[in-house]
Amino acid sequence: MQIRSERQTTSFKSKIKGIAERVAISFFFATFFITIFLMTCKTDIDKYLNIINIMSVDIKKANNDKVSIDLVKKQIINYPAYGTIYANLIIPSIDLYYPVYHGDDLDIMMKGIGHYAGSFFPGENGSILLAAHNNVHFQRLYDVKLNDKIILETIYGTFTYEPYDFKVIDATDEDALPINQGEEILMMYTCYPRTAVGYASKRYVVYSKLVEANYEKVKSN
Amino acid sequence: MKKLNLIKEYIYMFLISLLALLLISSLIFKFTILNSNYMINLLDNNNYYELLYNDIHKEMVNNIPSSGFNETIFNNIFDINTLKNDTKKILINFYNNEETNLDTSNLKITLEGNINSYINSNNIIASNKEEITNFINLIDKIYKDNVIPTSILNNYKDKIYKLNIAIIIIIIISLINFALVLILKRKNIKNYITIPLLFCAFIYFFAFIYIKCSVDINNLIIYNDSITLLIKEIFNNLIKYLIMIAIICIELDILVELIFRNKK
Repeated sequence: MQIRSERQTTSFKSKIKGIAERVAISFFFATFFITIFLMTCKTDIDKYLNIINIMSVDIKKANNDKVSIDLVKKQIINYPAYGTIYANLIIPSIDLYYPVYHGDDLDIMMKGIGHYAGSFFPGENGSILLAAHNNVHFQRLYDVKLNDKIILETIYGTFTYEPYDFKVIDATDEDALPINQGEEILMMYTCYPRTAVGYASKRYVVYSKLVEANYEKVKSN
Repeated sequence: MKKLNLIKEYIYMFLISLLALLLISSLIFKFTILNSNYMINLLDNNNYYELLYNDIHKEMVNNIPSSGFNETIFNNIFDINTLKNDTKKILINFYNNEETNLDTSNLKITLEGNINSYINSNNIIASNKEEITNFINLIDKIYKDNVIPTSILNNYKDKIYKLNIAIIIIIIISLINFALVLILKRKNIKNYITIPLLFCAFIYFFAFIYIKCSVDINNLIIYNDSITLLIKEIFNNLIKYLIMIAIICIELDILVELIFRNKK
């Protein structure tokens, strides 16, 4: 009986040992494979994970409290989040007072004036492109005249512009809306003519140059 | 010599484990994102078509302010059933490696009729007919680009087809190797079954943890609400399958241990 019991105990121990061996070997194979995989593909994995996480935006948490400007480099520090308000556009001569959003997709242009994300910001000494619909926010853009004051009240400063030119261009004429750095030009455009029906093939553009910049912090609405 | 044979044994075991991982992963893809029925069921079981309808309608309405019209011109130009039929047709053609083109002539004809009716009833002078044609084409493009982005699909059609061929090759190679193991490694067959199963379980469990910790899927936004919903559902399902298969591998391993427990 004792011998049989000893044999059973030995048999049970060897089975447990066998199972433990197989688990250890599989675990070793798995960690080896994962190490080699991460060593060879880590850059690509990180790249794709970053892309996915950039697209995971909790919009409710987006805020522009840290938007500021480096006055020496003439560059924005912490750009406003896409789709958020960063300024108000004020043109007293035509009673215009509307918010300006970062971005100019159609969703934004239903709510306010869109700032083309590929253009510079006020204070960066470059071209600024603003767009809005001609029967909503830029209804009276055609009535802006030379010497009118155009004010961009941003969250980091107030900028005043004066119009110097007005043009009617083709909707596809990108050369008429150049994005350059070196001189701060504000270009505001909308559909043309005022009574256009359907998809307007022309745009009305008001070109203005910077005449005054005031960098005290302004609270946005 | 004995040690060399042991090393060769372990290397072959590792390769069989890799093959098992490749086979299971291929089958996961084959029965999910590479399967048209799976995709169609996914769309049917979530409120994808309702969200898609809202996305398309909203994008069309965004073009109203600059057009001089109002929203009534979009009445009856398309509905949820049209969307469902068009989407399914595109998906099936895509998975069968056929041309993915939409026929939107009904939409354009209805829209043109609505526009003419609006112009006449509001005494609008539309001097430039070309601008109205351009507007109709723009709305048509919005519908086509949103139902299924056919330009993107056409880029991936060939890749999906090649991937399907690769999966078939993987299945054949795996079956041949497993048959060889059954014939040549009969004495050690328990190791050649349990070790690959546990290996796959560890890998899938690690992948599940890594993806869960690295990706913020809940706040994902891609293109519009309907595409975002679709991507989130596919992602969540794949993560679920990873942990399920890890558990199944462990259960199968336990089963094999029990079957072979009395054999030497």
